[in-house]
Amino acid sequence: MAHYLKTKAAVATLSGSIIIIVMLLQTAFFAPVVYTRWQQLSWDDFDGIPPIFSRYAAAISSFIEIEYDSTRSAYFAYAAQHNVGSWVKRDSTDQAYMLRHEQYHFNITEIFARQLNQYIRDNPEGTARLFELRLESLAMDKNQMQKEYDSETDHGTITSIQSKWEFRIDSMLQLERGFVTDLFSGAKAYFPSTPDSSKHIIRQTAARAYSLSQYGMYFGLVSIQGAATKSDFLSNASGILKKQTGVKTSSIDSVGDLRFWVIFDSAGFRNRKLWIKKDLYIYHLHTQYFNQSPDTLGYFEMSESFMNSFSVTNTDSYWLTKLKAATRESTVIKALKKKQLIPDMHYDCFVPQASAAHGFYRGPLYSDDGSMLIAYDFIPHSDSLHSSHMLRLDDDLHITKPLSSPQLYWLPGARVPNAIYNISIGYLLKQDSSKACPPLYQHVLTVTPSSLSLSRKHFGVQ
Amino acid sequence: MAKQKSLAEKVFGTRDFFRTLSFREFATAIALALLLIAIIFVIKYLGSSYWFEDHGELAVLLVGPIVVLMNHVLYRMEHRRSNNYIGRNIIDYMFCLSGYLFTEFISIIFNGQLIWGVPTVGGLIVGAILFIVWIMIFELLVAGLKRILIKFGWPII
Repeated sequence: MAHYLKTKAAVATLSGSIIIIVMLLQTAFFAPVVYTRWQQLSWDDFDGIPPIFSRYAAAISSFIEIEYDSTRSAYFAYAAQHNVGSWVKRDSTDQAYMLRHEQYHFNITEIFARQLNQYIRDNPEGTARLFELRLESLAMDKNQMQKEYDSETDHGTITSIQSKWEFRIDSMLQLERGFVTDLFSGAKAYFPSTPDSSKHIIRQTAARAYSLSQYGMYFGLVSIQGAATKSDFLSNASGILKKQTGVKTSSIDSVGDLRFWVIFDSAGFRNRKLWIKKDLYIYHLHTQYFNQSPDTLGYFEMSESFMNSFSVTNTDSYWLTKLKAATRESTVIKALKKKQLIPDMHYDCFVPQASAAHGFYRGPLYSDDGSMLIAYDFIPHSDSLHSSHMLRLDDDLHITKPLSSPQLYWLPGARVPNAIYNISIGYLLKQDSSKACPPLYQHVLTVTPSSLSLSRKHFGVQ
Repeated sequence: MAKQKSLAEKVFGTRDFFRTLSFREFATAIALALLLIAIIFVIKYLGSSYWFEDHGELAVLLVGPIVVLMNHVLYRMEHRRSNNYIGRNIIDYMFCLSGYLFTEFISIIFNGQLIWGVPTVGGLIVGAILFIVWIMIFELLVAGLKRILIKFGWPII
């Protein structure tokens, strides 16, 4: 009977040799293995040998590990990158872009590691086996997401979709922390990473802005202080439309909160702008992206996502809590005369300047004890330049020392009028301390209670 | 006159199989297990190349049954008789066990850890039952294929 022993030996030897060669290539000839925990990677973290015939320029191997922390007596999970399982063809072009694509694979792994950590926190009595089972389930979801990421971006070759995925992954990593809330205007929108903030006064109108240039596009959120009337808002909108060239589409929604949309192309960029007038503020959202490439879908989706994330939240409780915590020390001068030594200030006079917006404010707000509060964020002269602050109601002058920014102006409940009243809030500058009568920079506000009910919760400012 | 074998004896009889069982079956199991592992490793290694990226998973699914069929074909060539259902099941177990041991051995050498880990007793029993059932179903399909090949005058299994 035949036994083909030589054939079998040859097959076994050849197969064994192939296995050894493949494994040596995959382990980069037993290169030292380093697991890098989630962080910004560099190509130095990619030590693997690129597979022969691979159509790709780089690949990353990342996974989730569970460890036991004996000091906290708890399990924890983390995302790790395998240096030998990750490789790059060093001759590839656009290395920075490629690295970013690989980094976001790692970021996806981190998303699921955080989910596992949340599960571990929710099940403090859980066993290692329980967490491993959860890890297996999450690993399947992770692999699915990694596949979708590669599939939709065509391994990073579709730039706009790559940007959209970066936006999405960053958003998932930030979770709630990605929402930026302007505590003055209440504007809230989702920025996938921390935006730049700025504040301006243009033509007597204060504005607070947040902007982010990332993922190949621009995101902007501006809150504008001003109680523009409906007709002002609508005439501004039509003025913008008349001046703007390249308008693709626009719409004005005057039901409920006033909304004005305009989409236009300018200098190769698609601009999507939205103005919303709500209560005492106008909110302006703006996205801009390059419109000259065939693949702009990803940018459009990011723009939509950003616009849809916008909402207005009521931040009154934040300020009222801040007022409660603040030291309410003020000197009150009743019936201020023209020449009267003002305690703690070494002046006996000051020169009130014309009323003007000196910053962005929220209020007036009313606490349960009836106290009135205005939070004021000064723009041209920052708080560090102020020597003292004043709130003037009729002839009474309430003087306070500067707090850390922003300033809280308040009136005790007993002093708050029940009818329309004017208040002036202002400050003196340190640099004017040598002057006999320093200028008082003030902003006069006319407060109209919208209801004269006892609760006095809802007031407006004219 | 030679005694005619009953159908049950033909299909489930183990006497002929064990009477002729020798190092050849073990050598076949080992060689083919190594061959299967090598093919899968190469497919996985080339997984990011143009053809294998799209067809690699299908190739991995197909290569296992093909190698198992090769095992049966080799058995017939060596013994000059066809293996029966039970015999085929047994050499499948030998083949799979060889593959499992080699895979774990390679993993320990190159990765320093077991691929599938150490199973629990319950997991081992359930896994073994499922595996046996799976092999039995597969071999039923092979029996069907064997009949078809005989019909076409090509009795290679």
